[in-house]
Amino acid sequence: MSPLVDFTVAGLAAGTTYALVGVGIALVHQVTGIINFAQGEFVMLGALLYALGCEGGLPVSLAISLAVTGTVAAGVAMQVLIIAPARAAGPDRLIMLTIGASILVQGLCLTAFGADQHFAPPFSGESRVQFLTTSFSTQYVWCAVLTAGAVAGLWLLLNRTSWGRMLRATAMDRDTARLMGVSPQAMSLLAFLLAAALAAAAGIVLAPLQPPDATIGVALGLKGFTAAVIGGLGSLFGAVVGGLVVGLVEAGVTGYLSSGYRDVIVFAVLLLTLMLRPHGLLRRSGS
Amino acid sequence: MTGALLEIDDLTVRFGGVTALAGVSLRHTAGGVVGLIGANGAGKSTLINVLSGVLHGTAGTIRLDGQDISRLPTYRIARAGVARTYQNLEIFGSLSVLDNVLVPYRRTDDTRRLRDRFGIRSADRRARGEAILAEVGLGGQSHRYAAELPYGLQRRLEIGRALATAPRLLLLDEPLAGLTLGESADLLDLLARLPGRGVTVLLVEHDVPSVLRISDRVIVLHHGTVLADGAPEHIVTDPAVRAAYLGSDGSHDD
Amino acid sequence: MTPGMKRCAAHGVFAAVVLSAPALFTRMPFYTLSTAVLMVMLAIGALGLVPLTGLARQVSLGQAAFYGIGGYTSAVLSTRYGIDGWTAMACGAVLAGALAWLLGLAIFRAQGHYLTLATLALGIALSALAGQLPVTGRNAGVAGIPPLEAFGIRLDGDLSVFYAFAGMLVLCVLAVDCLLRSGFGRALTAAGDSPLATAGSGVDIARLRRAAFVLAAVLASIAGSGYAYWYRYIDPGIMGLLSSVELLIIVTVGGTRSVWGPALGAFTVISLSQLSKQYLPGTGGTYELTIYGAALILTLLLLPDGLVGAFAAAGRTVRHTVERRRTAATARALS
Ligand SMILES: Nc1ncnc2c1ncn2[C@@H]1O[C@H](COP(=O)(O)OP(=O)(O)O)[C@@H](O)[C@H]1O
Ligand SMILES: [Mg+2]
Repeated sequence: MSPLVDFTVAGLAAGTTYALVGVGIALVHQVTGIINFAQGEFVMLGALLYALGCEGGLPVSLAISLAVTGTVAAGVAMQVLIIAPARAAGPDRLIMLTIGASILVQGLCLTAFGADQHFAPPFSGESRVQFLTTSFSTQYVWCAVLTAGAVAGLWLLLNRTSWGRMLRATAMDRDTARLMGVSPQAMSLLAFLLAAALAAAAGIVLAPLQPPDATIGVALGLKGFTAAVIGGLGSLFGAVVGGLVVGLVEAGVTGYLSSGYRDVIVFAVLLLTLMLRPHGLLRRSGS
Repeated sequence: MTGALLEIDDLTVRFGGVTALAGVSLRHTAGGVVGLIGANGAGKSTLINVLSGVLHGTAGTIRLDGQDISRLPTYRIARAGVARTYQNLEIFGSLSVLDNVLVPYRRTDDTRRLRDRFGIRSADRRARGEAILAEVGLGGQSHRYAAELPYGLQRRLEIGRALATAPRLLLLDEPLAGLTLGESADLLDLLARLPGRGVTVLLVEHDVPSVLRISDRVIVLHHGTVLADGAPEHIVTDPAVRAAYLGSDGSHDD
Repeated sequence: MTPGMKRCAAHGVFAAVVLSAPALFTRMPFYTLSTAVLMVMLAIGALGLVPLTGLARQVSLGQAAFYGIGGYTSAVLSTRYGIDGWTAMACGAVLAGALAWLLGLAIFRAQGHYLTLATLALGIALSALAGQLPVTGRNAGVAGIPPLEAFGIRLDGDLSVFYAFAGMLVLCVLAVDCLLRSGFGRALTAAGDSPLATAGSGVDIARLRRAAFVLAAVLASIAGSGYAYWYRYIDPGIMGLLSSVELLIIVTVGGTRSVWGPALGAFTVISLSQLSKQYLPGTGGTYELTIYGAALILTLLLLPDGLVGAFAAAGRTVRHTVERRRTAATARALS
């Protein structure tokens, strides 16, 4: 049974990284109704800035600040310059705008930083966690901790603060929220800001695991979508479960079939979920 | 019993914790204008949404001429003969006024659809569209974009589009909202003429005196239940209605 | 002029412009005949997005998947089974249409952005699959695809391929234009404006959207087959996400609500991309993404109806000004 344990552990570990991206996508969708195709690129930007900071000899705290500031600035810029001016546009144009933003971010990063990989040291050095027959990098523990912390923090924010209540009210009914004096634009800005901060955090813990270059955002974003869709698109907790499912499926395919079929199977799962259970695997369909 | 155009049986609609309709039962034989009044949030729009298939009820059945339509999708209900307008105007702004009334599907169109598919606009189809536009007071506007029409005419266009489906039952959700007094009076005259062309009208409207004036039967909804149901002159004198609903409005009247 | 005559004239002008491209392109700096062929293929591939995305407002990221299905079906049938090129092209179109129909059956039941996500997944899954299956030549792709033959002429040069597919583009544009002026186009426009009221008018929206999706898939597949027979080689990269995004950008820049949009968009976007490769330093396509992204965003924000819409608006302004001057002149003459 030892291969099964190996795959499960490897799958869950990788799954935490997808969960982290998926949570950001779910958050923006919950509050704004927009599917943000640029979330993967923001994770890439966070990871790249952090790795560049580390390579440049900055202390960890400064490298983290650099990554967070840069990514949040990009997220805010996206909302202010691209999303807000299109407030009258339908969902079709908004979705295309986020696609445009994602290509633009990737293109600008390619131009500014080139296509080379950059490296950041793991938080706890090269230490590994021993589990039954297998071991994995301690960095995955950081990843899981951050995911759990992010979901818990966002849950508290959404359910226990007045800002959170306003965010949720906007998510449910923008017109009523506007009548109650909540500005949907301010809430949208807040959602993009939070999602960018989350992306920066995700990028920072991911950088040591997957040396970033300017092109990794696409794959990260796609896995994040799959996670968010499996979880029902609007649910933060669902996105975490979705991320773990994606990780497990990938590890299973790699272990029992061939790594070449990994993307085929993962995206076939996404396609089947959309076709058969459009409201996610967790929710009963039709509601 | 048979022969009723509309039979609603114990209809209940819940949104999470909110019960918008709580066991509504109604029968109506074809003909006339049925006024549906009630305070904000009484469940009037919800009833129209369920009748037109935009929402499905939590429990209960709806029959149209004996056919159970409670679980049918919107387009099937529309083809079965139920048309509607919307409280928040839903017109096809990027189509011409004429094209707006040519969108509706009619069973009689089936034989002509092949020709229509190839872009050959059949002249009689256009003529029927123009006739409906003239009927709702939009004659001479057919080539303007619907989005360019003034609000009052857009309201009429919505009614014209509903009539173009050749409905047996027409559901109107606050058609007078936002109109000037003159526009309101004109539209009311138009609505009063509809039963004469074989359309039974269910009129939801805030302006109670107008409803009382043109309705043959008035139903009062209160917190999702039928509070009163009868001829207009009985409704105004019903003590329960006066207490629950008209009482507050009555002071503004006259 | 009656509207019917105007329409005929517009198609005539379009045909003349497209067919004269080789004469112009061979005399201009960085344009080549192969750029012209590429533009034509992309214009056909993006044409189906006019009804689907422009009118019905359903965003598809799967055009490249269907482009790839056409390309691979043609490549495999021609190289491995010796099937005639045009037959293989028709097989690809049927396969793409059938897949779109099946997918649409499930996807359009629910409201929302499911089409965008599902087509995205389809494209990536298919491109990964083509990279694995022996029959599609794995990552090496399929080489040695024979050229098409028409009326005894081998279409093995840029010029002959160009004329064949430019002619096809002109015909496809005409066919789609007729379709969009029919009840089908009217219903699609209505569904884009208000799905609620369209369903309330007795139109089966799921079926309507599925029909537009199938049409888009078939057109993309024909373009993909054309590409395979022209380039004589095909690999999984053709189905990548960027190819789908490229088609979406082309139709947006040109104009999503007009049948002229895809051709104008293909010309503009491919020109921009060629320009950037020629004149910007440090090539290797790093500027391409930036330009694509910026072009998409700027068009969506500033020209919601694309270049066609902008030209039409400019034309109206000019006409109004001329008319106003003329009336003013008449008034002066009379007073
Ligand atoms: N989509 C919905 N989700 C949740 N609650 C709703 C929804 N639609 C209506 N309601 C609630 O149902 C009740 C009846 O609403 P409605 O039928 O719109 O009232 P009316 O048209 O009589 O003013 C109200 O309390 C309203 O808040
Ligand atoms: Mg209402």
